[in-house]
Amino acid sequence: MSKELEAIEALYRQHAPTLFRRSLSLLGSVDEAHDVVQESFVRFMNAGYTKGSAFALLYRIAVNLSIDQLRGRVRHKHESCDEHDLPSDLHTGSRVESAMDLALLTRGLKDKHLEVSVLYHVDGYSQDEVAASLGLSRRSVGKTLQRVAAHIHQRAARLGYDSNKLAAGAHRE
Amino acid sequence: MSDRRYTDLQIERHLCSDFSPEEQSDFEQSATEADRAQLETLRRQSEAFLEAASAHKQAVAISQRLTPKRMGLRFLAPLALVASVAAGLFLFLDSPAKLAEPDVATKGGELRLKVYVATDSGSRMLMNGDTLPAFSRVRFELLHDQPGFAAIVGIDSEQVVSVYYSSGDRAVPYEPAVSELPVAIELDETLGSETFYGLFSAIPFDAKRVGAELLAKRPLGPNIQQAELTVGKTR
Repeated sequence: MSKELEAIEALYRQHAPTLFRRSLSLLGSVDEAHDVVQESFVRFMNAGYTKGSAFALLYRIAVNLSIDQLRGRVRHKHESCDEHDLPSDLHTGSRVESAMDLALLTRGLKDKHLEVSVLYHVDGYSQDEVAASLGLSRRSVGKTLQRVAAHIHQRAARLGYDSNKLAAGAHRE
Repeated sequence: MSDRRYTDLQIERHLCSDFSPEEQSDFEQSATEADRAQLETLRRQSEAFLEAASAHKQAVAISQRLTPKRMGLRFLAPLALVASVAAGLFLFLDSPAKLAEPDVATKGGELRLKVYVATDSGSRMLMNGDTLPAFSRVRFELLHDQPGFAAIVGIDSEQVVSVYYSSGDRAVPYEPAVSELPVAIELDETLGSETFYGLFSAIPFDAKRVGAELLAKRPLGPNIQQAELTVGKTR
């Protein structure tokens, strides 16, 4: 086995289970989660990152790809029903559906903001927990969530969606 | 999480050896019983995942999709760092206890569609919502565990239905061993979203008719399975 292949396999062994769990929790689909994991490694390696934590970069790529997948689902759902039916149809309480709501309402957000939003709105982390998990200050998380809230309110108003349901954090434990 | 001091994401970082020495030391000293139990649970899940996923096969698949310029010493440098850390992780993971198979097997009869776009250095798998230039060349992979009949249909932003893979308008015989379909197409200049539908049935069907049903958003009936992927076409 070549050294390159050995290195890729080592990287895969180290990070793939975590990426799979993250993607599966957002997508609810084993097949899609496997696709996201593989694609995350390809994009990470093709980008040629030499700085920063491999974990942090891979994790962010996987979250973004998962949310993109959900946007594809939302778009399909969107096209096949009346726009005003969308909110009640989408928000039925499961983690995946909360992630779909978030995917719909956060289109256009920066990657970093999306990562914070997923932990807060989908996983139900407190702001302190988001800060500790991502190595950010509590203040920085608060500011990010304020920006996200403004973005969400704008999109929610356009789509006729009750954003308070999402803002409350559907899965806070 | 009242008896937890660490979030799941922090414990995942620990599991992936992403903690700094200070964080590692702090964890050893201050993690609660619940934190340690969650770490053990995730570790076992990881072991089971790696047993089922075949890390070597996945590594081969990933390497085949990398652009050539990334395959070399420049690429090895950052990987060597993470691989050296991973070596410690393998020792840690090498538990003698055999674990139950995880629930990651593909269900029988499930249909999956993969679409690849040609690039300068090979090809790239498309994900839902990806964008690509008009006139890109794409090819398709359709995965199913049963023999039957298959077709690929596309519906673009102008609601035009195209049958990309079939014999005439009829679906063609499909064998699970040949999931990469022997067709490559060049997308036209119509901008906006295009949805590709992979279609499968145990019995022959009319792909053009099914395309019309998809366009009209009518149900396809119990005999036909579909998998889809939507991309955006730009200039």
